[in-house]
This record gives sequence, C-alpha cells and structure tokens, in this order.
Amino acid sequence: MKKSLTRAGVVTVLVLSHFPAYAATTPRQIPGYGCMMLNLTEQQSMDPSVHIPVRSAPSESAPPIGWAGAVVAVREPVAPVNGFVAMLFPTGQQVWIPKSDLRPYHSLGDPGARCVPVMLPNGRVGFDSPR
Amino acid sequence: MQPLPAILHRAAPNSLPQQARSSTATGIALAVGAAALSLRMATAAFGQVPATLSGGPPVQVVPYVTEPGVPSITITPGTANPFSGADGSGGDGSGGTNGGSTGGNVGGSDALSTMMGTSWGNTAVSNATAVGVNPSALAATCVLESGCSSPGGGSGAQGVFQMYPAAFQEGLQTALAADPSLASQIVQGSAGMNDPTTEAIAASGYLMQAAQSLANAGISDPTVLQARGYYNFGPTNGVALASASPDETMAQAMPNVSQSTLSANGVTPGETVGQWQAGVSAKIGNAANQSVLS
Repeated sequence: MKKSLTRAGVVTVLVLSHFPAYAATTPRQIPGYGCMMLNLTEQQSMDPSVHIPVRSAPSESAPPIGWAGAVVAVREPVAPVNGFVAMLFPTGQQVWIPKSDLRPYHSLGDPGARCVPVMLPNGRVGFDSPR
Repeated sequence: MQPLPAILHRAAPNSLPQQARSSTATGIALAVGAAALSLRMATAAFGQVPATLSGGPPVQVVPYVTEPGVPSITITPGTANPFSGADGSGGDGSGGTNGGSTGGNVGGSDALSTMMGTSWGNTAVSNATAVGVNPSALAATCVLESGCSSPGGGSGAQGVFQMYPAAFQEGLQTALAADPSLASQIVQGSAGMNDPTTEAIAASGYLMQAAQSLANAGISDPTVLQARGYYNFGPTNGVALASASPDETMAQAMPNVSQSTLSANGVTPGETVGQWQAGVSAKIGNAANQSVLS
C-alpha cells in the first residue's frame, strides 16, 4: 500500500506541475483524472447535515482532510486501495474517499451531459464539459 | 510536461564554511561583546514598545436612557466597521473577478443600503457582525429572497430571508453559539421565522455554516456568490457550483439535482453556471464578490 501511495503522490505532482497556478486563462483538462459523483439522493445532496469526509490516506483511521463536493476528480483507471479511491481536492491535494460513496457521473437534469476535471484559471481543481 | 527539478535543496547540518568554524579567542571575545551590546540595545528597544491594553479596549459608555430613533449598535472589537460604506467611506466591495474567485474583502454594497433602509436593518447589521458574518452578505441574501420586504406566507420558506424551518433552526443554533447574547432578541417558536430580526440572526448563522462548509471542502474564504450556491442547493452542490467552469450548465455542475428542482429555483434548462452567477450578481451588485465572513 505504501508503494501505491508513493506512486500516487508522484503522479499528482507530475500532473499538477503541468498546470502553473496562474498561467492559464481558460480551464485545462487534467490528464489521468475523470469525474465521478457522490452516491447520494437528490434530497441528501441538498441536506446541510450530510457531509462525505475525505481522508489523507486510504484508511478509516486516517485523519479527515475535509468534505467532498457533489462531483469529484478521481484518478483513472480507478484502483481502490483498501476500499478507498484517490481523488483531487479543490486545492490540488490528493485525498482519499471510500469507493462506496461514489458512483459514475450521470446528470439527473441533463442525462447526456459529460464532465472532465480541469484546472481552473484561479488555480483550483474544478470541472468542465469536454471540449 | 515540465520536468521535475534535478536537485532538491536540503539544509545540510554542519555545512558552515571551514573559515567560520576556525574561530580564535579574539573572535570569541568580540562576539561576547557584541552579544552584550545587542542585549542592552534590545532591552532599550523593549522599553519603547507601545503600551497595550491587557483588558481589551477601553470601557464604552453605555447609555441608561435610550434615545428614540437611535439604532442599537454593538461594537465587537476586531471586526469590520458594520456601517462602512453606508456613508460612502467604506470599501467599494469590488473584490474578486469571477464567481470562482475567493473573497477577501468586506464593505458597503447596494444590497446593504437596501437592507439598511428597513426598520430592522441596523439591528440586523449589528447582529451579523456579532456572529462574524459580513453584513453585505446578509443583505444580499434578503435582497435575493424578498427584496428585504415582507413576502406573503409561503408553503414552506418564510420571512424576508425565505428560510425553511430546518435551516432556520440550524442557523439560529450556529448564531447563538457564536454570540449567546443574541438570545435576548429572538422571538421564540415558529413566529420567529416571520420576525425579521430573529430571522436575520438565523440567516447570519446559516451563512456562517455555508462559509465553514465551503472552507471544509477546499473553497477557502468563500464569496457571497459561492455561498449563494450553498444557500439554494445545499453543501455538496454548493461546492460543485464553486468548482464549476462558467461554461458548464447548472445541470452538469450539479448532477444530483433534477431539472424540476432546478426549475423551482429559477434555473432554466441549459442555463450555464456563468449565466446563473451573472443573474445573481445583477441583483446584488458589488456584494457578489465580497467575503461571507467579516
């Protein structure tokens, strides 16, 4: 698992080093990452008391880093470690989320919609339509 | 792809030049003298440190006779002037550049002027500041929800801030945790939802929750515009909106939200995140890119 963590860290550094924080003026797709969404009902997704924690390592005992948004950028191909999937936090930090908390991206309001993780002009990880 | 730097710089122990390590007795004596001199100078410098008030700011005069027409003003040390901008002297509130930027500025706004024009506006400003929320953020919420005027009775959402009972209660709890003294102003029970002062306290607490929730999800120092996504669509969708490209449609950005719910919130099919942000900004003006927190 440690080897996997190290490799994941290196991949993240390589990916993010490709995107200078303030150089881009338009969103740029992040290679090696795809979109998934939280496995919540519509009601749960709007409930202020519902939070899905993300952790610093693929373990329930690892310290929580924060909460996940409705759409997450997961490393592809998805390779769960201890039931957790590596994803990018908006800050660019790699964090881990239980695979059971995710499902494939599918928009209820626009079933044909697609999604790609991008580096936004403000330097944060975000999402856009494929171009 | 940019290559990684070939050399990682690391501080090496005992890496002082050889010359520096070959000190002589004269050098030691000079060093001791210099140290003594600097200590003396430092002592003198400490003597020039401005006096500080260990007990906080000076005691304020508290009038024991209220003057009719004068608003209740609570000054919380260390927070922004709640009335900045109301007289034209505050910040211009023209902070961020788009809906994805972070906050970082607090000041007057057109929305704040609107709220200040109500009978309860001054008290709401004071209470928002006590909770730690930018009064312009609170004002923007009431402008968007009701124009800061009393709407008719709704099916669920009520009052000038159009809060649902659950959000109202959660907001109140957060606000009271921030400043328990606000409890004296609260109208108890469901009637509180239609009392602007009480609901403004709850809305301030809810905005505080929004800011904390967004920050926990990696959106630091969120703007009023970003908090609007939380207010309308909840925490996970609020983060999704704050992380969306302006070109994405609202349905793409929030895949868990159905078109019927989007329509109920005034979002038309195919409306982009950028269009939604522009629509909100058009209603609240320069409050949009201000920080939620004061």
